[in-house]
Amino acid sequence: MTLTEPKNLHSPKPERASHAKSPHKKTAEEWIKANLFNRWYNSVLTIAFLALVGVLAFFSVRFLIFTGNWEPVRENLTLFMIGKFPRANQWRILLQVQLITFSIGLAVGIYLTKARAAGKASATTKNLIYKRFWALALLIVVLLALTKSFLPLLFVLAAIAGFTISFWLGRLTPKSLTGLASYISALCFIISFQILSGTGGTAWAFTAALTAFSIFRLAHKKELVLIFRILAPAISIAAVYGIYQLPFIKIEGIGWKDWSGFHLNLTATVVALAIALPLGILLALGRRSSLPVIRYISVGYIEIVRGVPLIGLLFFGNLFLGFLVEQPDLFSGNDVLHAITIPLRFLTDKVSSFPAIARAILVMAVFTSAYMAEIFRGGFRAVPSGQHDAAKAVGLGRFTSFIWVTFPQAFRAIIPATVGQAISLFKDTSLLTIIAVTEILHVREIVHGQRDFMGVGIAETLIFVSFAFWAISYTMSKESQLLEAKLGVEKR
Amino acid sequence: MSDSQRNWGQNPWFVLKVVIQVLVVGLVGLLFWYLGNNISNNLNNKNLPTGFGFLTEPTNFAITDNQGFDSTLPFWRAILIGIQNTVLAGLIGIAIATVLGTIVGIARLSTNWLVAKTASIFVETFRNIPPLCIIIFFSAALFVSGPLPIFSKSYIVKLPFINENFLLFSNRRIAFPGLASDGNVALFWWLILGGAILAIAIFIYRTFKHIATGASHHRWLWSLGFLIVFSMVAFIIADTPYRFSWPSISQDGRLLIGGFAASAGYLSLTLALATYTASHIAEIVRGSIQSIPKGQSEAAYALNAFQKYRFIILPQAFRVSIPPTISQYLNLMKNTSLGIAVAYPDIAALLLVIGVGNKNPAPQSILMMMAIYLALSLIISLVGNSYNKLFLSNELKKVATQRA
Repeated sequence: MTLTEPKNLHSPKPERASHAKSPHKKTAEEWIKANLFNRWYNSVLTIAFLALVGVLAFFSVRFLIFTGNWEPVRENLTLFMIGKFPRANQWRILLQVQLITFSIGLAVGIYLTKARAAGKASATTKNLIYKRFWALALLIVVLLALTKSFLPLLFVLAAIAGFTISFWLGRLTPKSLTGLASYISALCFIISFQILSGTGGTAWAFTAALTAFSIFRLAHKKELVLIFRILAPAISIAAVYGIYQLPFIKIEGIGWKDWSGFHLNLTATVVALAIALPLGILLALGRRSSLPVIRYISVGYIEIVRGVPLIGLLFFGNLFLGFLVEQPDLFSGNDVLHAITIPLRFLTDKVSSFPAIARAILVMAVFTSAYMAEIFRGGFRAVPSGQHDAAKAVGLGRFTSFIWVTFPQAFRAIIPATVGQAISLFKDTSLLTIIAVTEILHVREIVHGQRDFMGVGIAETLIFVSFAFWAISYTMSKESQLLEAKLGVEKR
Repeated sequence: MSDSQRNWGQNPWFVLKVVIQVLVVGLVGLLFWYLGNNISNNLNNKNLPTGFGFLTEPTNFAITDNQGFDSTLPFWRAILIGIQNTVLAGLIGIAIATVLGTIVGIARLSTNWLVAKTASIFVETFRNIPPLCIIIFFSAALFVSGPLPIFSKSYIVKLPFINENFLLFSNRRIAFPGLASDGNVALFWWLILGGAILAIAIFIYRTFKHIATGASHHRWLWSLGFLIVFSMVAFIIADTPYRFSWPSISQDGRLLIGGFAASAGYLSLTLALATYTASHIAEIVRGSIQSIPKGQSEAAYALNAFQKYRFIILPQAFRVSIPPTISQYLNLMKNTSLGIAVAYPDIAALLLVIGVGNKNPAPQSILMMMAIYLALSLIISLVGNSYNKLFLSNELKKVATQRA
């Protein structure tokens, strides 16, 4: 069952023969003749489709703008966006959005500077930006048009300002500080999620991992003594842990169970992907392992998870997990068994205290990790074996050659497929409604349970929800196609 | 491999590997044993059965659209109905999606700007919306906002010259003309199964004969012709098992009689999944047609457009498109589990929602559901892969014999 390997089937645009590069620009008449009435059957098709498209366009525009009843959406826009998120804590979401725009702006600025310096970046005109992000812009415009106050507009303007500032900060960063700037960008992204989850528990681990990685790279670049290369990350992990214990750093979290609305769809995607990526790498490595036991376990995990629909796994998390982990006082009579199972008890106690949303997101992570493992496997296979031989010839060990030779090349090859998986994960978050988690589609049901909107505007709310999903998936898929084309060009 | 041939004492790495594996097996075993213990204890605490005995006990519930199903029948009969419903939605969905996807994929490459643009809007719209939204959309568009429970005259389509209903439309069902079974249905289908196997054998025989002698094979003509003639004979042998039946409304105007009545859940699930998957298949079709080197199409300039596609482009593109298409079929089969949202009694809904709601033990139900879906996925990928292999090897053989 090795069917889903990353394959370059989607070239960015269908080439049409009639679009041959002509030296002079065509007039409107010539264009119509060449593209609509070049053959007799094309003329027939054009007229038939003109009638069909005209009728469809007429009715949909009439519905969308004139006859549609958008009151259910307009009245409940906040509910659709953040669901039952505690209103007193709304500032967390606002701050999160600002931090993420800042982080993305900085990253884009740094990337552009780097690409320009390497002479790789094609001129990004305003026209191109409009072509790439029109769906996202349309979503924001629609949301603003549906609001009842001007505060969201101010918020969006602030986000745009933040993006612009951070973009130019990134563009103007001197070359010696790019490492620091990338670190800050990634840190902002991680912190934006810790604002939701709070700094207690294992939140520090993500920041620590990022910091240790950055310092490790810096030490490697500066060619420090080996002991420093190992010590510096270790010290930084301890330092981050210390910082997170400081009283004025600590913030209380919002429980998972309060995440909801469209915000949950987006957050769940990011969180599940963040868990699934490392798990997927481990599984892919396990599948390549020379130890048969580990190989069989990985293969079993991957194939079972891929063969079962996500709904089944979500029900597993909802109905089955309780039976697995909630444990009555089992081995209280037997000291030996009691001692052996203490670590397992700790684990299962932790899991059984998870709310339904946390379980659902974990299940989605498990589901995605199996697909990610297959994508990574394809990526590892795409690295020519000569690379591995060359690394061996230079004298690199198995581990070092994997980290510095195989992995970077494989990672670059799998980015488009990973974005595709992220899109599919994002679309799959709509399934959470079936286990009664209040994501956006479930909010729609809540709205139609309200006294005023019972059976009113069923189509309108559904179109709104679908449009929210569509705008984000469409933008991501276009970006991934561009990326794929770019990577493909670089490969040649 | 070389490790295992060496002496234990000479190779410390080999010992380490064995120790690691034994440790892993031990840990996993411990985990499973511990969790299994938890399950059985929890089941006992909640007074639920620990085995699979619940399968043979009466269900105490009825299944929508299966009037033949009785609440006194054992639960495994309900599971069979669930499998039948899942496969029915999946196979019909696959058929529609393949046809629609191929047409849209080819339309995207049309030289007609309007046709290509319409096709690409179709693809980009349905590809980027969650299938669940499409299912709910179809259900809302066709049934919830459609006519009311009692049949309204305006939604009955009649054929000219015949005083029979062609299409009946209510808010729960759409009825088409269908076949009503009587007589020996089981015998008829067994005969058809035998005939199909014989037809496949004829297909393979013609192919081999073609390779051996070089004479034109006409394998589709031979095998399909045989199957048609055989099923006619079988129809007579089984004493006309099916009659044609028009849909009609009962005297009190509340029930559908005759014809083939598709339920709201089934129609919205199948149509939605077919549209969603068609948008993916269209991309595959377009990608695989574009992956054929330009030289091929230039070399086919001597042929007309139909011949070029029929004999040069499509056969090559078809081979490229098989593996990703099988993976889309698998996705569609798994997505039928979304029928829960429109109350379609597929296997997941029957086991997990209706079954567990009727006090069936959840762990066993979920394990059974996973096993059934795994089996379905395995069957589809097995059929697909063996078809792929057969097809490819056939092509290779042809090339080989032509060169020889």
